[in-house]
Amino acid sequence: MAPHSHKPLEPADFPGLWVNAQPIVRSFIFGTVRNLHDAEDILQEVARSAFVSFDSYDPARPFNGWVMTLARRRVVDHFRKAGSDTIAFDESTLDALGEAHESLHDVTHARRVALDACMKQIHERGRLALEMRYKENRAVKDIAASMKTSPHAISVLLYKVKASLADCIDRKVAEQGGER
Amino acid sequence: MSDLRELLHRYETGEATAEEVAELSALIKSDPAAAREAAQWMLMTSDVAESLEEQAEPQPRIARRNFKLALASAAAVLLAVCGVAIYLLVFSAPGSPSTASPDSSPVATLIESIGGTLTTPTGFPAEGDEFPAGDYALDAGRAQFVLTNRVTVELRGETLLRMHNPANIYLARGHAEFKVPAGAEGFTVHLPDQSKIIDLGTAFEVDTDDAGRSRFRVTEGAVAWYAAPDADSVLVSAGQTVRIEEGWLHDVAVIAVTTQQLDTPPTVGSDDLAQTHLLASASVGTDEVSTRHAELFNGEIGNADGASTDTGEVKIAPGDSVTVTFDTSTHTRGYDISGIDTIFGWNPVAGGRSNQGFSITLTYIDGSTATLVEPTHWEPNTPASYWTKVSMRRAGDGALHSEEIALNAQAVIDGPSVVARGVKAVTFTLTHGGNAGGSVVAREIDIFGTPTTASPETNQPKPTRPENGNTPLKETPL
Repeated sequence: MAPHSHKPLEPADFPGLWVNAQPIVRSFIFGTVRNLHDAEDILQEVARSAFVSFDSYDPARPFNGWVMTLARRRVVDHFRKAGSDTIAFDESTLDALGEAHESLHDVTHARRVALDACMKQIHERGRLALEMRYKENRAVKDIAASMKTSPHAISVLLYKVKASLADCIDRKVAEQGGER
Repeated sequence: MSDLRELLHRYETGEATAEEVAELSALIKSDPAAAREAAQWMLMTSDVAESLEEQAEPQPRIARRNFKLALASAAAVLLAVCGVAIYLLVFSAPGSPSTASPDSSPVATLIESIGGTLTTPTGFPAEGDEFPAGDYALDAGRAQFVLTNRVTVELRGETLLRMHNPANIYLARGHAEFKVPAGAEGFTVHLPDQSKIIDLGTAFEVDTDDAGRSRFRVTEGAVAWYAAPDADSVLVSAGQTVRIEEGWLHDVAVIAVTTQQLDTPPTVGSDDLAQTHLLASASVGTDEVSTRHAELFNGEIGNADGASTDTGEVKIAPGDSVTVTFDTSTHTRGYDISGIDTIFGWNPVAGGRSNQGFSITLTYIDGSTATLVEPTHWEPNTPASYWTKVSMRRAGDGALHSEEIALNAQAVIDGPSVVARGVKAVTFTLTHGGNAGGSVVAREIDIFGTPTTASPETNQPKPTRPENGNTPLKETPL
C-alpha cells in the first residue's frame, strides 16, 4: 500500500488541531489530577509544550494521540512531585485512561450539548453543591460546612447529581442516534 | 457500572482509599469498556466545571486562568512567532464582521481577560498585548482594554464590537462599559440602529441585543445621543438609563433590590396597600398558598418555632402564584406602586426555604399587564439565615445597597419614587423553590404606594423628545 502523503504542517495549523483536542485533554487532566487549579496549570503547560514542539509532531499520526502523550507525561510529573503520600493512579492506569479519552474524540461535542441540556434539570441544592465543588474548587467537607450537613451527605448528593447527569447524557445522546 | 462510577466519584473527591484506587485501576486496565466509561465520567465532570464557569458571573482570580485561556496562551505564543491572524482562518464565524482597517498600528491594550475566550484582530491575546483596529469578540466572562486615548473599554458576556479607531467603536451586540477621561471627549459608540452615543466626558454602559436593539446607562457625566447622523442631539445625564426604540429614547426605571438576611423577625408594614386597600387575594397553587394566601397580606409573619401551621407561615411551591387585587371602587385610577417588601422565613437547616425567587406581574387599571420582575431574578438565602427580607424600590430612592435590575419597560413611568402607576393588581409567581426544588415558606408581602391621583397617560414609557437649541456635535469620521 502506498504511503499516505501529508501536507507539511505550518504553525498556523496548530490552533485548529488544539481546539479539537482540548476537551479530551482537559478531561484527562482534570479527571486524574482532580484539583481544578492544578489542572488548569497543567493544561496550560501542555498547550505551551505542544506548540513549542509542534514541529516534532508527525502529521501521519493522530494529533490527539500525540498531545495526549504530552498530557500523560505532565500528569505523571505532577504526581511524582506530589510525593508518595498522594493516592493516585499509576502510570499504566493513566495510559489506559489516556487511550480511552482518545476514543471519545468524536463524541465530545454531542456529550457537551447533552450536558448543557441536562444541567437545566438539576435541582437547586444539587446545583449549589456542584458550583461549590467544580466552580469554587472546594473540598467536600468544606461544602458540608457551608450547607450545614455532613461530608457524607454532600458526597452522596454530588454522586447522585453526577450519576443522574451521566444517565441523562447517555439518554440524550442515544436519542440523537447514539455515538458514532 | 454503578460500582465503577462510585469509585470514580470517590477518587475525584479524594475520599477513595488506596485499596479503592487500586481496585479502580484494575478495572480500568483490564476492561476497555470500563476505561471508556471512566473517561466519559471524567469528561462529564470536566464539562460540568466548564459549564458552571461559563454560566457564572465572572469572578477575578489572581494568577489563575481558566481552561480556555490555556488555548489563548498557546495561540499567543504562536502569534508571537508567526504574526498572522490565525483566528480568522480557524475561529471566525460566517457573517461576522471583517477587520475594519488594514492599519496595524496599536489602538488597544488588553488589561485583563477573565472567564471567557477573547478573540482580537491578531488572535488570542495575553494581558498586556497591544492590538490594532478590527473586530473583538468575547464569548463569556469579561475583558478590559485601554485605548490609546486612555478610554477604558470593558466587555461583559458574549459581546462583539468593531474598533475603527480609538475614538470610534461599533457595538454589534453584547454589553460594553466605557470610561472616558478628560481630553477624550467625543469618543463615539455607534449602534446597529444607526444611532450613536457621543461622550461628553463620562462613564456609560451600553447593551445591544441580537436584534440590534440597544439601551444605555450613564453612570457619570453626560452623553449626547443622535438618532441619525443629521439628527439633533439628546442629552442623557448621569443616573439615566434609556432604551432606544424606533428612533426615540425612553426612560427606563431601574429597581434596586436590597436583600437582608436576619436572625430575628424583620419589621412588617401595617399601612401598605395590601392591608389598607385590599379588595381580595387569590392563588393558583398546589401548596398551602392555595388556601392561605390571605395570610401573606395581613401583617402577621408567624414565629420561628418551625411549625408551618402558625398564622402567617405559608408554604409556596414552584409554579404557585398569588395575586393581590386592590380596591379600585373609590380610587378608580388605580395605585402608584413605590415599593414591595417580601419576607420569607424558615430554619436554615432545612436549606433554602427562605430563598426568594419569583416573578412579579402588574395588572393595570385598563386590564393590560406587564412583567415588573423577570422570572430569572433570584435572591438566595446565602449564607443561610432564618429570615430573608427583599425590598424593591426605584433605584436611588432609599435602597441600602443593591443590585439593580431593569424593569420591564412597559411597566415603567416617570416620577420620583414611583415604580409603576395605575396598578390594580400584583401577581407573584414562585420561580425558584427551596431545597431539592421544594416549597419555600413565605411570611408577608407588603406593597407600598398611594392611590394614583392623576390619570396615567399611558402605560407605555414616554418618549424624550429632542430638545430645541441643541447643537449637533461633530462626529469623528470613520
